[in-house]
Amino acid sequence: MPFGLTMLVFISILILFGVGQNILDRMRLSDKSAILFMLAIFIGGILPDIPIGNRFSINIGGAIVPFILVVYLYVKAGTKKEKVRSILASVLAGIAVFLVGRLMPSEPENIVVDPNYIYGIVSGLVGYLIARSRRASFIAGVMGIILADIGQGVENVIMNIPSPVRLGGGGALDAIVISGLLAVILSEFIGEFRERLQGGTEKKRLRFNHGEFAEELQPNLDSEERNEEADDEDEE
Amino acid sequence: MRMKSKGWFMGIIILLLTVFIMSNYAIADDWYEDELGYYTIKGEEGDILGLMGREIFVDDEYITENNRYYRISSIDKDNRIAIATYIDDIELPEIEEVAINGSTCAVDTLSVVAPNEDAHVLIYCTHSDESYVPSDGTPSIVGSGGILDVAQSFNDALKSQGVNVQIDKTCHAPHDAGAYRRSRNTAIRLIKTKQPVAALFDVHRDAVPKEQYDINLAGQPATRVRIVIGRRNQNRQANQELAYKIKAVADKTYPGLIKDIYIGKGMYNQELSPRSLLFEIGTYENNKEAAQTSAKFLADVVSKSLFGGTIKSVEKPTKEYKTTPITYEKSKGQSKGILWLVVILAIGIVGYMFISSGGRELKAKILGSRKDGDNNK
Repeated sequence: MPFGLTMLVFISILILFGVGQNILDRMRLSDKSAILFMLAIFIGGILPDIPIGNRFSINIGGAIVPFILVVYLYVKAGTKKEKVRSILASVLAGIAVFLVGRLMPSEPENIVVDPNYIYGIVSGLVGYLIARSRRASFIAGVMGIILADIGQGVENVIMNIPSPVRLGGGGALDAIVISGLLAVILSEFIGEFRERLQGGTEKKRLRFNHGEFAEELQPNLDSEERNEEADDEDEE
Repeated sequence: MRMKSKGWFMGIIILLLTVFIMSNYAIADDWYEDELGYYTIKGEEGDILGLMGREIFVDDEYITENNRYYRISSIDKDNRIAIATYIDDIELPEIEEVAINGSTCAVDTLSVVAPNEDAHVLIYCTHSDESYVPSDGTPSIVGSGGILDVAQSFNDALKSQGVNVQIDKTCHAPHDAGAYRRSRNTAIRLIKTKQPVAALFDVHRDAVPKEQYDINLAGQPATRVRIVIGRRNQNRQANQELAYKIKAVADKTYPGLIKDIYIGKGMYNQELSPRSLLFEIGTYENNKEAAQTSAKFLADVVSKSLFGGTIKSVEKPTKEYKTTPITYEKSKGQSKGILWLVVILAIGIVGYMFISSGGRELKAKILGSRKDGDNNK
């Protein structure tokens, strides 16, 4: 491939890596672990898929690493409420993705948003509306696609459709990864937009502690401002 | 508690709305069932430019067989008519004519690509169920559509020309919006395992009346070929350059084989690799055998467009042409592609900054940082 086209491919990958790392960084991950997870997704994505029976296979970077990240974020979720919401959002996102895949037109130009992104947007929307946090949106974004793919696999077996199910087969470019990242971007944008519309955060009087808005504070100017700052950061 | 129930309520409303809206779309997409399902593209004077078994949008671009470049300016959805405004005549790459030195034959199998050319041509079929009614008896066969036979002919003809070619006949059924997501994994797997990549082709057949695609080439019944390019990705220019080269070579050697080029709103997995194209080889009303003949001719054109060589015209008197490998040609595609990526990234960042900082919040941030200084961190 000529140098220019190689650069085009290289820069595309670099931008995806940079954007991905920054998005993971917005959740409860340190800079280092965000880079490590993105590296694991990219390197794992290049490795061959692991076959599970005749019709199923799973890719390390495209499905296993995002799933590990989901489990990590789930375990680290601050409250029981957030955990329950994450599960509900994932199941609903899975149903929504499955239905959208089935009922939307088959040609990409007929869909307002390209199929690659529509799943991320659908699961991200469901995730954000139900779970209201970046972590839960990511969980719903990733699990929505995984559950919808498993659902398709079950249908294939029942209906005798010879299509294989390759979970995360696209590696770093798979809908699972794109959907998870897109869900976080979406929750970030909606959250910021909503906050701007209402003229600031609703959580001015809450203390930001261990990645959560916890107990109420006495109204006091300094702490209010500090909390606004904390709200922008949401999690470290 | 109130917020929780509100979130639930909104989630369910969004879900129901999505299902409702998308189910309406689904009905509109059943082209095979609906003979009037296709669009007619007309020029501003009312002249018919072509039929399209795809949804058309304003700003889509259309290049006719005689290289006239149009942009869709308005759409009458009820009557399925798209009006296209003439923009310009496009200039295809020059193909050098050389002195004739041999007998005529339809496919110039003697002129194989250079043996050190190790780049791969990759082929797959997103709509692996698509079939040809006169030969297959139905427009769709899950698991073994007639399109797979046409793609196989394309693959075999490329192979006979010395091209490193790899076909993947994975089934992507059902034929729904998920098909492109499933075929995306197939394309990525091909790209991953067959480096370096010369080109990536997704083989389809169209869904318009056969008159649009019928043609006789080299005395054989064949079908025309439409090239479809997605306009929403960073590889668009590089893909378009390859499409122009293929059309330039085909126009000289297999006149009429390349029917037209449509540059539509979808992405068609073409963001995965530069030089990715979608071919519509014939339509569901054509004979599969005619489409297979065209696939062989197309392979001749594609191999010479990518890797260079000599190629003979099927029209009499026979002429011979020399093509240069596309690798050695000047290309603007990559710089435009990189610029496209950077612009998209910049829009995203600026958009986010605009939403997240502004008015009171921005003021509070500035004042807050002045007051608290580094203690805030």
